[in-house]
Amino acid sequence: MPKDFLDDQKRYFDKYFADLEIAETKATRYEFSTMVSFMGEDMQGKRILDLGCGTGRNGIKLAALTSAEVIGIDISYVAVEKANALAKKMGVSNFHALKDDFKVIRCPDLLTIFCV
Amino acid sequence: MLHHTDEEGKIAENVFKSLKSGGHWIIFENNPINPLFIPFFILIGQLRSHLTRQYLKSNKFSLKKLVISHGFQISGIQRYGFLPTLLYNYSSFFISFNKVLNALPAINEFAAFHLIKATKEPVLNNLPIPEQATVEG
Repeated sequence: MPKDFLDDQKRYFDKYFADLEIAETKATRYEFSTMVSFMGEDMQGKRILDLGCGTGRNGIKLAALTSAEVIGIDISYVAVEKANALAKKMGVSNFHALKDDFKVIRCPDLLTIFCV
Repeated sequence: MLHHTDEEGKIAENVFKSLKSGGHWIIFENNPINPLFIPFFILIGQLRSHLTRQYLKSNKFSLKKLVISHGFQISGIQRYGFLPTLLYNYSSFFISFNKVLNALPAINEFAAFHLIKATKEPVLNNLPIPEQATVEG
């Protein structure tokens, strides 16, 4: 495995997300509902972390449907920019994405962390 | 997402620190033994980013070991899909067909995804400390 595995992934995803057109599909809707029913928690007013949030397809939806504070983290700056722009466009103020490395960042008091 | 990092142990440590007591870590990972994944990744042009040693490590045994060794209890496991879920965009038939396949245990082992719910058990701080037995001479 190359030593710079994470850098390699970051470069790949910056390019991937730059070219990606964000669109909700039947597949993403079904994935989201499967994940939420598997969580099986009342998330109203709680702090949730979407780890590897990409362009926010799950995190923004979760924030829009609940009063949870949803934080998205991704290694791709391009993905994070797109996620924040999409949340703003949709008027979802309880979702915020950060470009960071979750191995070092501190996000205390989370009810749920999901990695999709 | 875990198959896109080579430091899943450090991530698990930070997840544990970041969750409040009773909180959950929901892991949604590809199942590397699903026979349709490699042809699917070739088709969508994502083989290079997915076919890594990390991808092969996202099997149910490694994931269970990862969460348990970092102090979590497993409170739920579910399999999801078998045929690529992208097919759902073409017909709802594939949603129903995947549900039928997921109901068959022999096929479900090869499902497209694992969902694991790992729970950080509450710390019982208020339990009375049992009195130590004393030996009378």
